[in-house]
Amino acid sequence: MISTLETGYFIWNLTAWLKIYLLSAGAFCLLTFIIKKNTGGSLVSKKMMRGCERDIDEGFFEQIVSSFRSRIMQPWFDFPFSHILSIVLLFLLFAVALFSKSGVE
Amino acid sequence: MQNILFNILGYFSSWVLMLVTLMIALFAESTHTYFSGRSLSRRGMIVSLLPLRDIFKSMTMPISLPEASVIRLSTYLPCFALAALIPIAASIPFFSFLPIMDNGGDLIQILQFAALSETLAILAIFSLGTTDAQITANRMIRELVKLIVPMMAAFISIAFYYSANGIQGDPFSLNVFTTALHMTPSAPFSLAGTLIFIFVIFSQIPHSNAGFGCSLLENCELPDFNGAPRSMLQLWSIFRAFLVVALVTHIFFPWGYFKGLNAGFSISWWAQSVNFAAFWTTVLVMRVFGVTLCWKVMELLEKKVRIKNSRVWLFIILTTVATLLVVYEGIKISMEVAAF
Repeated sequence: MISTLETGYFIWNLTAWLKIYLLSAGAFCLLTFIIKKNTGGSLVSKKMMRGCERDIDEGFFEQIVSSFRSRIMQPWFDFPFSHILSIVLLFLLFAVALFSKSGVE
Repeated sequence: MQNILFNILGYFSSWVLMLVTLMIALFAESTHTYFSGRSLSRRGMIVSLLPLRDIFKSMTMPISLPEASVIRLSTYLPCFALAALIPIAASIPFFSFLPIMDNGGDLIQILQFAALSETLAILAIFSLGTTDAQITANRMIRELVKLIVPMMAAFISIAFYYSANGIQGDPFSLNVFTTALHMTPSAPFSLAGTLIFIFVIFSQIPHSNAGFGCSLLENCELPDFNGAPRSMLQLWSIFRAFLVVALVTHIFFPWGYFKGLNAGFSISWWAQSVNFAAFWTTVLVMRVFGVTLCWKVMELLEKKVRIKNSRVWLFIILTTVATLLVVYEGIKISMEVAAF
């Protein structure tokens, strides 16, 4: 398999680009899939937009996920400075990874 | 086996950390919206000061799509569009301290991924199947052409200038631009052309005139389309605008000055930190103030030039003039080299 395409005018590192693209697409699709699973069907009428309850019985795993979302995640989303604190938290993660030097190829 | 596991873990953690740039993009967007909200509220207009909070809140809402939509495409295409921006971001130097691919990516490949990302986002909107969605998608196509044409013209003409200058290897590599030969006062035509390019590209970054910044959809636009896919497209739009600013800032950033400044540091990561902070601070300032200034100047010019479709004509004339100036500088250098 060609991993790098190189001519006199350009050098394209195909494998590196493809790896990042597929990993990103996989992660974002998984995130959307999880949100879709937890928040209801993919085609919801306008009347069911806010605070709708589903009639379908939830399984054990779904109940755990739903209680995690409502008890742990929801207060976080409702907290007025959650976005700023999230950014601070991720910067801390960034600093930790910088000094541990993990993931460098 | 253990090594492979650690490599995968390291790669994934680096990828997660690359999203720091996405956070800087969101921070820049919220700062811009805060300032524009303040000025608009003085004129009696109500603008949400926390559009980002709305984006993240709609992530937790049930996904809502119009009846006519192609469900799977409308749900997952925004994810692929956002994902196509990540390799572009990864190729910008100082994207993070942890490079998981060679920094200094090729501009042609960057534009290919940009076109792929735009196409996927436009297809996601088309897949909603309503008349309103079609109008929005057509607007996105027009915005894409207006943004990508001056970017291609800028990159190709500057690359031509470097080829004429005798640069070895890939003239489209972002690393070549760090030599900053096209921004020296000894090359006045190239300098003037590059400045015009910067103005044209910044002024053509898709944005809302109602103070919603670079979000793709305004609050009342496509109300049938809600939930995670809508949030993904809003994030995509904000991140795309920020990457355009980062790429263009890379063209005129004073790399030479910072290289000289870093020579005094004995520890390399100090130098890296200074470069990282200087570059991203410039990008942040450009996004919040520089881009807004270009939007305002373009609006003023549009009002001054009283002809039909003045914005389109200004865009065409300025892009052509900038291209000719940079190419002329390249031709001048080739002729001097040939005469020598």
